Amino acid sequence: MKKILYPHLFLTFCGPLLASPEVNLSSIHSIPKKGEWLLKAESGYYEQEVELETEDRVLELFKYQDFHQSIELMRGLSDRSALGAHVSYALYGNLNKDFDQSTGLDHAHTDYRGIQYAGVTYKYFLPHLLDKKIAQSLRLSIHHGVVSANDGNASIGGTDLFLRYQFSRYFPYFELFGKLETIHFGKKEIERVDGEEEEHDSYAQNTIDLGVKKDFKHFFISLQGGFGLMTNYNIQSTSYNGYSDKGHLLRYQLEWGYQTADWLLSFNYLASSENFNKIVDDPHADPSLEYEWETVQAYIRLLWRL
Amino acid sequence: MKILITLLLTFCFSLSSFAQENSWSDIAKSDLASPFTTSARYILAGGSVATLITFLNQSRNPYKKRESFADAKPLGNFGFLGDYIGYGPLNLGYIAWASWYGHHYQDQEMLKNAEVMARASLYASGLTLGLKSTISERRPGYPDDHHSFPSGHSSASFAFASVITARHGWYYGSLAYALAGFIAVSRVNDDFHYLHDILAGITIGASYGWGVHYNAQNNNRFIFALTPMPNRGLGAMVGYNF
Repeated sequence: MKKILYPHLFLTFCGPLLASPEVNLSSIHSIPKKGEWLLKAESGYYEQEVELETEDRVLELFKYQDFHQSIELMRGLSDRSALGAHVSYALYGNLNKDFDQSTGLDHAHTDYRGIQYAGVTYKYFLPHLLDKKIAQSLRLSIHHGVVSANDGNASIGGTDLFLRYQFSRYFPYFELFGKLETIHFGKKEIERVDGEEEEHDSYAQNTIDLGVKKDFKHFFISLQGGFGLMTNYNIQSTSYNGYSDKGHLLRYQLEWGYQTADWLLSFNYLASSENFNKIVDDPHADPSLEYEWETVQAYIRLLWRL
Repeated sequence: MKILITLLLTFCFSLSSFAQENSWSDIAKSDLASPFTTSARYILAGGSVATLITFLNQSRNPYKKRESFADAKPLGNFGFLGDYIGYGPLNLGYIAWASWYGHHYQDQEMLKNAEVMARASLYASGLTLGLKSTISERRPGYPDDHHSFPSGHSSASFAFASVITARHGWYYGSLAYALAGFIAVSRVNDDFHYLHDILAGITIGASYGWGVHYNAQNNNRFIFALTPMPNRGLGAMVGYNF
């Protein structure tokens, strides 16, 4: 059980992206026009709690926290498409194991600083498909993750792929928006501080989010909720094999901000809960053992049309 | 499933006999290709990529029967509702109601709606049935059943929801899509399907729902009718409008 000290760490790669509902800057899905530049900067706090638990008790409890900053610069290739690059940097991050049932309270800690991931994004405005009143776009993003611990050799790699369809429609008093997203989380290889190597198999996640946004001249507020399903999730190390055959997530996000024709500044709060079916392949283990991730994020976002 | 296909076939081509111009084979070919030749290709492309990504991430571990625990079932014990309503009743119910309404009130638009629903359901269910038989994937929670891919409930319910949306607007359509989403999730919830199974079903259903609708907008017309006969027979009528 000790071997799953870091599986949740890789989620930091996708954290800021998962938390990005693509606010419609001037109704254009954040896609700059031909020749224009659009800068997106996010800075905030991320915390994740990971519980390995049976039906009636918690066996292990881990916490991950970081303060990160991500920047994306996008250029309009045409009035329909744009290409951009992004990078995320962790100013401070730490991993804590707060509780281990097998050994009693067993605190373990490591921290790091550095680039979390870097990648490219392509966005495309769909033609008026299905309904002319609905604005629709596609977003394809790919990034490679890099994390190194300061006090050890814990590291994570892996390439993640994001494919997102999103839509929005104005009604007289509010705007309805949503997205369908498929994410491929690439294979991660982790070298732990204790020298043991751990491997996380790739897995996929499909989500749907729906939200409403209300504008008050320059100020706006939006609320969205989402549901998703995941494929199996495998962890392998020299002494431990974990296998979950399915998972699901629930999440919601609140955004409050100020926007003009050229820039947008907002505060975001996101909470999500992910639950995986049984996580061990050990025939002697409690068959009800499952894996739960609780994530909270709070960050500030700036969108600026250059 | 075969009964559903027969009924849909009957409804489809019987209803299609009203004010038709083109040949039956032209319509059938056009309908079958509609996910590729109409704007529904965006749904087909996006859904196919999502299905492929999800499938490629499916575990390569040896097959092991899935047993879900309470916390791993987002719909709890209500998944059976999706099982009951997902495979046919919605589509057939709508076809029956729209046909009756159209005949009773002489509403040609409703007759057309019934026809579109029948055609979309037929092609979606037919393709799903063919793929189930060809691919023969074991269900995650039922090792003896080899009809996991793709999900028939998902394809039928999303064909239904797509036609409702296309013909009656997003107000009713959003409700229909919510119901179809519930049905699709219930199949994973109750361990009848893997995630890529329901994504494939959703893609097939939505592609044909919208594709056939776009085809119908082009006013493809023909004369062809099938009707059940006594002693399990099936009668056919072929005609042409001058």
